Amino acid sequence: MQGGWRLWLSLWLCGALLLFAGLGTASVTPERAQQLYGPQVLRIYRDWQQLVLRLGRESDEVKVREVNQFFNQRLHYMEDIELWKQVDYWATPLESMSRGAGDCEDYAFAKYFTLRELGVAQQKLRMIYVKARIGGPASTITQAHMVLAYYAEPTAEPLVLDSLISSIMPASQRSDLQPVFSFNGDGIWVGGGSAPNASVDRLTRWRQLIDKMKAEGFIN
Amino acid sequence: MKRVSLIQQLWFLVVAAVVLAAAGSLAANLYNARNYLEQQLAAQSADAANSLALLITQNHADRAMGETLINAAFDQGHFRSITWRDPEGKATVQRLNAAGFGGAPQWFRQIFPLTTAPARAMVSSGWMQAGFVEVESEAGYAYVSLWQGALTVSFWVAIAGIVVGLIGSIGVGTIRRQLLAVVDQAKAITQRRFVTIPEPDGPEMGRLAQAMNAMVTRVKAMFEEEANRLEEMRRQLNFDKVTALANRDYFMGRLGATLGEPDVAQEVLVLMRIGALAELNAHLGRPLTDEMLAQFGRVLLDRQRFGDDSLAARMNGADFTLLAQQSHFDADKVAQLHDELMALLSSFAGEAVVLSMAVTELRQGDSIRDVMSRLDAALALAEANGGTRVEIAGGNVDKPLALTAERWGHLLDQAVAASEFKLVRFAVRNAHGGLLHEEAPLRLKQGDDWLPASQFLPMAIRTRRVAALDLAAVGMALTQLAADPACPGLGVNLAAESLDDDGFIAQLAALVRNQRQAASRLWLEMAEAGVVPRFERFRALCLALEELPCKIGVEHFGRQFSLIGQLHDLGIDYLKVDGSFVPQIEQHQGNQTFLKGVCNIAHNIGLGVVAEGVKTEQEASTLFALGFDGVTGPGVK
Repeated sequence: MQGGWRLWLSLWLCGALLLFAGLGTASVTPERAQQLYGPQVLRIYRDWQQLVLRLGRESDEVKVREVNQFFNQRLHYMEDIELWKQVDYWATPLESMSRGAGDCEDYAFAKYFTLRELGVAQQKLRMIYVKARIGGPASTITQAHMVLAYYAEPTAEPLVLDSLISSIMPASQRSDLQPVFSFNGDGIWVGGGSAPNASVDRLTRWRQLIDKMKAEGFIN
Repeated sequence: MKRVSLIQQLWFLVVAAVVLAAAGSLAANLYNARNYLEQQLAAQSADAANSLALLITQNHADRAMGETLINAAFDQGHFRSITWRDPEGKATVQRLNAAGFGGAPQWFRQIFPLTTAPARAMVSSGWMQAGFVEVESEAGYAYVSLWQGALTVSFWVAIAGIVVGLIGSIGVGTIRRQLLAVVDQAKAITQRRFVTIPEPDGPEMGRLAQAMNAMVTRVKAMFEEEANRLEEMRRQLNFDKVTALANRDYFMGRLGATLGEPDVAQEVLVLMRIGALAELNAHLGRPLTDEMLAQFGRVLLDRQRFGDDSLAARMNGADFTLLAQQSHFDADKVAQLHDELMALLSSFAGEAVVLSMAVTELRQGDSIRDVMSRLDAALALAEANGGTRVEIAGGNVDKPLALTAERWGHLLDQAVAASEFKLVRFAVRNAHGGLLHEEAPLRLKQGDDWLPASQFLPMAIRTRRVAALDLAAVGMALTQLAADPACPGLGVNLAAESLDDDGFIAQLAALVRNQRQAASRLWLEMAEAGVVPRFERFRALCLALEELPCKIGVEHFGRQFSLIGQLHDLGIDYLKVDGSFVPQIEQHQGNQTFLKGVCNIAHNIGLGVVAEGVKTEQEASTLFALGFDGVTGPGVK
């Protein structure tokens, strides 16, 4: 009896994985995006779709460079309090594209999910909370900041994708940033344990962001 | 397959509802609790993993520092394991609480598994990845909590279940009682007892009982109407209008029947003549004369004085007769009666009135003619004497056993103890000449003689030994029935006086119950005249024998006829109609109509009807044509 139950669960998981694998190309249609956030979203979204199509077969390094460049050029930096009238707001990539603006987390999330869409492995990407010194090496002004890091190898020095600086640099050249903590979309949970913990999991901000994107249809 | 009764179904429903509700609430409670505990464990793991990862990252992922931090967290916390793995997934630091934490039985853990997936948080050393921290909370205390919860909930659910079950069983019990009442009523109806029951409160049962009661009431009303009609007919046919005494025809029938009975009871017949009644009538006027005669009749009708079975009749204008048991009526009492009646007449007509009176005993072998001519002669003598004293016709017959009551008691006790009895048999035949059953009266051995019941029964009644005699007779009949399977049935005549004995009914029922097989051919009967004054006792007897296979009947039915209106309440099986109606029935149109009515009413409530005192072939064939099921008497061999 229990064996049968396990068999069914594993079959179901396989099906879910297959679905997820096929997801890469299927994204939100322009009509759906327009319906959600108005016509202004299409300004950036159509270009983003083309970018994704264009980069499909490129190497990870090219993808990282192009995606970083795309968002640093098309979004302009704006604090949450101005943009969303909230102290701290985690926007989805589509929301950021509809406003054409975002703060440091929004840049990092947009880049992270685009790279994931392009097939970059999850283990190579981390969102990193950093303490950033602003205004030159002698400055004492610091602020909380977030960047996306790309690890070509798990033990390698990462490349830092920042919203403040348009070009990508190795971490060793970013003495203005002091890393504090990191996480990725691996989820907090290990080993398919998401089902029983679903309700308490929803309390985390990361999970809330994922849920919002699922509602948009951006990811499944 | 055994069919499930309504009560069993109701019980099943109650039990199933209680069990399902209890199991459902227990399961729902446990699953909710388990879900909550799992989430708490998960949140605890995740928060601990993040805090540890943050601390280790802040300390540049120094291995010693990391291990210290992990030790501190592990030793003070509630974790099953904390592991720091490098980016390749190899464990750098691992703490594992292999002992676990008991408290809940193993089977319970298997039925309600708590899945505690480990939580993971990333560790960095500066910009470099330093693997991740995995934390798994200890589920043991959660199991204990879940187990305690299950016990508590089970306890309360069991209490609630018991309460609901009790309430349910009270409800089922009520329905069961009400159903049984209606079932008993229906059963009583099939046994020809038309009883009503109190209507229960519930609308369904109430309507059912109401309908049954209405039916019973209607049947009773029909029955009573018919009974009243018959009673009225009998009165017109057989009774004198002025005095309410029996008429000549009826009296002669009864006298003939009495003389024709196998055991002529020790009875006396009194003949009275009011002298010069025609002159009195002219002198007093008709209304006053009628009033005088009515009061005269009322004195003679006193059954308490002359015995249950006594009969008084107005033979013609001035002649009256009184048939009474000798035990109630010795020479002193006859003289007393004469004085009393004289006083009554004098109060109307003055001292000149003459009342002549003669008395005689009925003897074995007497014909009506013998008795009447003896009395007529004596009466002539009395008239010649001016009616001043009562003439006794034929003198005292030889009484073979003029013994004291004490001696009789001793004799009867001895006879019962030594079983010095026998049963003689008289046939009761149906229309085809077949044997319906045999009447089996008791004979008492006295020296070389066998005494008929008429000689020892009055003394048995007086010495209160009649119940023992009846039981002895029933026992003997049952023994004979058991020994003779070909015998269609034996009828035992029970004295109504036995009912006065408190233990009689129970002893009789026990006797019959012990011989169920033979008892199906046992016919027990009591005389109507004795039953009427003891009606409630007789009803108790019928109820006691209700479940037993023996048959119960009433004999000498119609002598008094007060019983027909109550037959439907008793549950008896047959009637034996008194021989008074039988003599020359083929010529008596009025009595034919009456007996036909009796047969109809009896058959309608399922009773068999037998005629007593049948002497001739013509009588028998007329009676069968009227609807009788059987006949017995001197003419039936």
